[in-house]
Amino acid sequence: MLPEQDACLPLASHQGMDAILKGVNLFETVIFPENRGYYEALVDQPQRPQALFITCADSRIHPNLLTGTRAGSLFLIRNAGNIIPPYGSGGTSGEAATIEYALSVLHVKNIIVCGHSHCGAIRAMLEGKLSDEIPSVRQWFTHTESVRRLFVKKKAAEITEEDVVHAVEENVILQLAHLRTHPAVAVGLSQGELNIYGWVYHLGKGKVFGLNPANGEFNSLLEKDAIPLPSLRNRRSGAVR
Amino acid sequence: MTRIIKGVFDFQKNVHGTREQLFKNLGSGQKPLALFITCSDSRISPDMLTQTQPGELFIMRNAGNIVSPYSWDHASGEAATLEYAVKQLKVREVIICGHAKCGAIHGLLNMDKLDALPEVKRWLQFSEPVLAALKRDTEGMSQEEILAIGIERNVLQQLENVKSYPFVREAVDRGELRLHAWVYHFETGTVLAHDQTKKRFVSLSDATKPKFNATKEEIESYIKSHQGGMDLTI
Repeated sequence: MLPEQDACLPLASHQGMDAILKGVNLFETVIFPENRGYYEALVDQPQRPQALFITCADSRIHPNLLTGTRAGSLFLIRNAGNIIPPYGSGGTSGEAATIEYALSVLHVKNIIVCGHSHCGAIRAMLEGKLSDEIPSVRQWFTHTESVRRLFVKKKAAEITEEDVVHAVEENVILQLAHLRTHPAVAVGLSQGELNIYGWVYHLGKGKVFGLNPANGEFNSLLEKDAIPLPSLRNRRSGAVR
Repeated sequence: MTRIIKGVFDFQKNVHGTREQLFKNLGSGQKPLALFITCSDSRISPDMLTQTQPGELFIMRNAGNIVSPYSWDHASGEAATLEYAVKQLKVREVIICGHAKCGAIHGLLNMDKLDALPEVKRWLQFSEPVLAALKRDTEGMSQEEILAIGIERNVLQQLENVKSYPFVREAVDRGELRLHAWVYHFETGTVLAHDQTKKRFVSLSDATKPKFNATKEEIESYIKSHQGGMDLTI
């Protein structure tokens, strides 16, 4: 809230908020007026995003910057670990609702699940350091328990950044599998109206690697490799058709 | 999709190089200024709106910028993300930022038409507490006005939901965490913030004037540093 709120410390003692407030002012006074036409066009019609982009809450990921897109292009789900609980796994799920909205209302045609290197929570999970202090994080990460199991033979001190990246890749593959359990996704895939992609963003290197359905590996993202993952339909005897 | 892939190539080839040091430092960990909770709506770019760099805002996004309230036996994505931000990263600020023309809140006002969207309907139960008072307070108003007020009330409801987490209350009581309720109006490019004293939303820039308004020099230096091809609307 604003500074006059009694429960607040004086704003000046918060370097962080200071920067954010100035930033908003800069946006209002310079950036918006400079791009007024663009922003006004955005609100005149319903949004038509090109993709649903599911990524981690990590502050180092800027989806628009990374994909060279502007406001209006990416519908976003962001949470710790870019996790999508499987459909019907209990409780009301913001992820399920947001996926349903993106597909059934906005008719989004592409979904990208984008993990990232140097993921603090994944590393903590591999090192067995998701402690009792953060019980909700620990419980949330049961949605990626099978990834943790791949590394149980390693001691905490032996976990390298390479292991973290490997686990992040496995997590993306797992969350893509969870994504397929959501009815709107399953239907979209089987009707050939939806494409799903698995990416890993390498922080510091500025590189994105995409899951290549041909070899099951994460390859440097080249145009020829940007092939959507196959729908289950391809593996069936045409029963869906 | 081709456009998005091309955008990534451009990022890898051009953007990353121009700010190499910043990006290099990113590998050594994050110390974000705030947890920013906003809607999935594609028209919101938190980084653009707050002019923050990679590494500065920890971001949670879902339809309706909703936070499910604390539950001892079920850890949602919101619970985990909030807990990680407050307890692990020790952010000092939580900003919940709703926005004008929100489709989710439009749905909330038309719950009887959501039968084809069962997950959305279930999800909106976490905003539903605003409905009774909203109905009472907006009698005779236009749909547009009701939506605008509903969006503000929803942000305040989500603030209450955030406060239902014991670790949030503890951090607030210790003076280590502050909570902010904002609404972004993308048609006018302005942010309104809830003023606890006046009990209403007011212009954030007006309320923090002059201390937090960008100075003429800052604006000029900003424009100068972005000349030479950098797209202001990335």
